[in-house]
Amino acid sequence: MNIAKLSRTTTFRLTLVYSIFFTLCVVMLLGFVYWKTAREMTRRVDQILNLEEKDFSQAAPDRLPRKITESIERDKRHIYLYGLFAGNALVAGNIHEIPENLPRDGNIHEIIMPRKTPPFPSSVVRARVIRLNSGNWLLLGHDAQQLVEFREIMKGAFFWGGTLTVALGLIFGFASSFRPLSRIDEIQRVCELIMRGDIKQRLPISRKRDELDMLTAIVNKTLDEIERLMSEVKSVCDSIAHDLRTPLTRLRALIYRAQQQGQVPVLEQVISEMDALLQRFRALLRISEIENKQRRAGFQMVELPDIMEQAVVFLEPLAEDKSIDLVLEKEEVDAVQGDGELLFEAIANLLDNAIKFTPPGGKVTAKLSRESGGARIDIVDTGPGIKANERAAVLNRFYRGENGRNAPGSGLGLSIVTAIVGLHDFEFEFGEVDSGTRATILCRPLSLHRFVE
Amino acid sequence: MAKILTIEDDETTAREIIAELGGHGFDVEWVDNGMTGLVRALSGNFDLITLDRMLPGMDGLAIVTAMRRDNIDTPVLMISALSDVDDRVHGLRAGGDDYLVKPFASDEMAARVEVLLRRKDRQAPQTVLRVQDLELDLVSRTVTRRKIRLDLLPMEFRLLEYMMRNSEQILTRTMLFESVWGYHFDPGTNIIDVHIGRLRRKVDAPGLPPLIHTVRGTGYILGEHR
Repeated sequence: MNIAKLSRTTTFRLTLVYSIFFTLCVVMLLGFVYWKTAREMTRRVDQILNLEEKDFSQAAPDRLPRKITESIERDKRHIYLYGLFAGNALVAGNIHEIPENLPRDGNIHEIIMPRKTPPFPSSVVRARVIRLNSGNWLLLGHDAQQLVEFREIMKGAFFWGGTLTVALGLIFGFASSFRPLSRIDEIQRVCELIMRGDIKQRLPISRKRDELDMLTAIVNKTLDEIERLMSEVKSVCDSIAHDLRTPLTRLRALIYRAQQQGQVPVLEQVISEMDALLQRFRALLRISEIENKQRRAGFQMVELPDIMEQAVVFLEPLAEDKSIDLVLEKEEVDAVQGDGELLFEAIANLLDNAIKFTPPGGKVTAKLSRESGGARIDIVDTGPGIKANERAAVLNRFYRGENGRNAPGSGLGLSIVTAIVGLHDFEFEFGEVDSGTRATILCRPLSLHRFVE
Repeated sequence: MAKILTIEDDETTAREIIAELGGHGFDVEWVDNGMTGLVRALSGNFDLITLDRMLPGMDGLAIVTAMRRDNIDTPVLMISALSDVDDRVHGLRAGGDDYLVKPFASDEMAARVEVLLRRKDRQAPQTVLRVQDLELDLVSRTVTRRKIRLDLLPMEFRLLEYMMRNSEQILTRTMLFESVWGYHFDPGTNIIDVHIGRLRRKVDAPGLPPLIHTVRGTGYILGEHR
């Protein structure tokens, strides 16, 4: 894991931004403390100088030199500067001349001493020059070295404080990026396995439930769906191969017989086998045709009662042939948005199925009823029913239940139904009823009731 | 002998059409591109045209549109690989008379050609359809055979009407489903056969010469037994 990679992580960048921000805060805090402290220190020095000025300017002129000498003697720490000048000549004090960079305006200035005046150690002073009533100049100064040193300390604090904060931020950033990045590496490892074909692998999810886990969960869900689709494709391929082998083999046998015997009637059987085969292909193409239809814009308002009635009338003879009672029960329902022809096809397919799997003498009921936000179509039969564990499977292409192995048809009817229902955004489900099986289409757009709820 | 123009760029399909229609006694002229096809179609010398929709450099629809604009009402059977309902509607709206999806069974195609040719002959509107001793009154909506009234359900009536309008011709299951029920998907199983069976029990009562005949592998004919 290299630095460049680490430094690109979100955690690292966040940490870096935070540490820069934190450094700025520290600098501002230190700056404020410095500014306050420096001002206070200056104020105190200036206060002393003000007191001194008052003290000295009120003293009698002839006693002044003596007072200055005494003050110098008392100043064991050598932090005061005094100088009484008559013109430019020193009368008393511990400074030989008035520095040229000190204006003689009575105000306090901070100056650098042009040269040292031992034993006074400092080279930075705050000082003022005042003109006495006698016409002499009085210089009063106070060491400001402390202030300078304090500034130096603060500068150091700025530098080291900032550097350390940034450095610590970087270290912390790298360290905290390491864990998420190691999770990414793990994800990458699993992805490589999946890309190599091991579709059963799933990305690791930690217990943190953080954003990375959310993302991983989404990817895992997608993988589930892909796996399901892949297995469906595989089972379709298997089924096609399997289902088509039987009629093709029969066909070959028939043609062979025709060739051997020169019989024309056999050829009729050949054609009918061929037709069955083609029907299957047509149904397959039909499904993808429906699934590819994205043109819900072409939908119109469809009167379901009419369609139900047509479908029942259409399949009634089939029921009659098997002595099955085909009953239509319908209520008035609102028209639904849809493709009438496709809905007819779906209902006809369900009825066809119901009739196919109901034993003679049974009953098939086509029921249309109101449902909040739409309509509900139930096709209920008295057939053997679909076992709960088979319900999902019957929707797979080509699937035949245990009972339906020998039933005629393409085995694709329900796939066509689900494709049509899917196109309409309706819902389709199988259920158990006392008498047999219930197939239900809920004709209410999913998207609509998603909004409502 | 009816003259038929086949506009089709795929040679295999064209040969199949020529062989099948030739077998039915038609004189077929084959054109393999849209431009020549358009010129020949506009000559108006044909009784029927089979037209591929997807021709190199031209949509078959353009040919029908041009023909209809020039008031040439030669029936057109559109043959197309586009199976969607929308495409079918476009084809028929442009002036095509029937629409067949590729790949098709030759007998289906021939049956549709026969029906289209017959439709052209029959111009006058009729109120009573007669086939042998079978009579269908479109006004009173009654059917009699040998003057005995047959009790038919509405759907059976429509089925019989279509079969009588196209009597003596092969009608495939798909043609029956499309024309009588108005839907274009594959109804599967043997549902059309069952409907015909029921109609047949009413029309061809025991003792009467049968009028509905099965053409094995293809469909049905209503008419005199041949």
